[in-house]
Amino acid sequence: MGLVLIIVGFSLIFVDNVSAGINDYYADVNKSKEIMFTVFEDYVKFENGAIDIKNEIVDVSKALDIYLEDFPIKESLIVEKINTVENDINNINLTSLELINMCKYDLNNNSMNSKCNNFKKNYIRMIDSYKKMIIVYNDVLNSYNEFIDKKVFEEYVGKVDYTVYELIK
Amino acid sequence: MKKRFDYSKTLTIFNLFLVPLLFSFLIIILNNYEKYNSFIKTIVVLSILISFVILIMSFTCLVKEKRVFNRNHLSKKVQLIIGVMLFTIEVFTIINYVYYNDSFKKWLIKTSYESINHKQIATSLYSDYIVKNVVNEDKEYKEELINFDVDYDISLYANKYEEEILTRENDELYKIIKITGTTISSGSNYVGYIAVIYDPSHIKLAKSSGAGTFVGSYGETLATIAKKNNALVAINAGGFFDPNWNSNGGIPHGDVFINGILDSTFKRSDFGGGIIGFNNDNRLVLKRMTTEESINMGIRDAVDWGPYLIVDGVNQFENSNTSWECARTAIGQREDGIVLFLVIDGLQKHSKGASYKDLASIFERYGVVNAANLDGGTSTSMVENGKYINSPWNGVKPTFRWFPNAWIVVP
Repeated sequence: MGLVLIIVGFSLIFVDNVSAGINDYYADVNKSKEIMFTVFEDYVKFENGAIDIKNEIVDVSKALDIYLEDFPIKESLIVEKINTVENDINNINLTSLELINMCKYDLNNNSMNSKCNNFKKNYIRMIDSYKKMIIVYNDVLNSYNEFIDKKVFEEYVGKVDYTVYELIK
Repeated sequence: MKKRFDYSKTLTIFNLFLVPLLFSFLIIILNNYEKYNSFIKTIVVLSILISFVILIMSFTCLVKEKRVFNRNHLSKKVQLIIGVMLFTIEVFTIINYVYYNDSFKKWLIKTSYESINHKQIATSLYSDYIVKNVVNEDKEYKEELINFDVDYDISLYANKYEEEILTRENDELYKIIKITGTTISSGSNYVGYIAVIYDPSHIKLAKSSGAGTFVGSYGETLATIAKKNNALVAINAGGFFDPNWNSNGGIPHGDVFINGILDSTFKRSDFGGGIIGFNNDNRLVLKRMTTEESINMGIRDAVDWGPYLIVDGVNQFENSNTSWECARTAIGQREDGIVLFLVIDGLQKHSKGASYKDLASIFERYGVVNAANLDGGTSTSMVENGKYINSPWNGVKPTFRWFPNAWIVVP
């Protein structure tokens, strides 16, 4: 009788463990699906925002293709365009932070991994492109100062929040 | 005895289960050799050995203590043992079959990899290599990266004229720019050409073979002078003695220097100006001076003509409009040493010509700091590789005048 009780007891413990394991597993799978969904959704948001930013940077590059003697007239317009880029990058940072957090989970889903990798690469490229834009703008500005032989314009300091960039890099 | 027998039987049966199970575990360990530390490996191997020894011992005991074999039949206990043995071998075979079965392997790995925290189910049973292969066997997703390569076509030129002058291909020695515009005073159209010479050391003054101050001297057309001197580009230079506007262009006005030597000297013109030439530093010298002063200054090549249009950056015609519009030839130099030959067609349908003020204004646009007018009107000519590129005109028809000398660009 004692042996039977022991066997039944062990069996109940075993069944309970198995049941807890299965529940845990399904909760785990649901969480992973939720993460994947968030990543897919945020990636689309990020991608659309990044494409807009890229177009805005192209817009700035075209605006910078001017003759130095025209620079004072067009300077405020160019800065306005640069500010638009900066605002959009700062706006996209919220989504980017969420993506960073979600991408920390190793779900071994090829599509998600690919999106996470691309997000990181695109983000870095986006910021590098922004940085280059500022460098080129300051080059033009300094060239104008040299052309006029006077420090008319102060070097432009970017207003982008680099928190996400530092996290990714 | 009975107690010992029972003990042996239990151990035998227990170890018959245990040995194949431990072997199965050993196979898994061998498949994941790096993942298990040596302690576990040792424990498993020792366990197998101990179990095996216990199995042999207990079985031997069992055989010795009881007559288990009978000639005609096997005892029930031996049948049980053999049955258990066969069963455990079967279990062992099935476990190994399942373990190596491809479908099971993929199912197990993928199922555990769908989760966040249960991946160890797969990783503890299979090697990283197998897990990686199974996980990555699906078609690889490749999202396209956004192209952030922005082309900055920034010229950093002060203006379009600066760009026209400074852009050149393959370090060419010169380039020709066609210009059009309207004159300041009358608003008439003009068409002209600027030869931009990047290295002034290649600019020489060439003379006609018959030019001089002697009686019977004669000039040559610009194309002839250019061809004889293998010139890439040429323009007419200073004025010449031209009584009745009908001379053969043999006698140049004023002092003419060629390669540092005074080539000829004749009555200076009354157009203002003076020496228009290059010193040994290839700077354009505009100075009204005596022959001796010119020699002392180290003039390399020069004619004597005028008026001066821009001197040391000062436009000499800024507030004046004393000149009429006609065909013009002029020469100028920028601060960076680049020399500009300028010709403007005149008195023709496509181009009415330009005034001195227009010439100075054109030169200013292109950043010239020293410039002088040369012989104009019917004389205005520019030749590139032996061919006229402007339209020399005497007011009635195309005319290619004879000149005593010409500014040429040699390779």
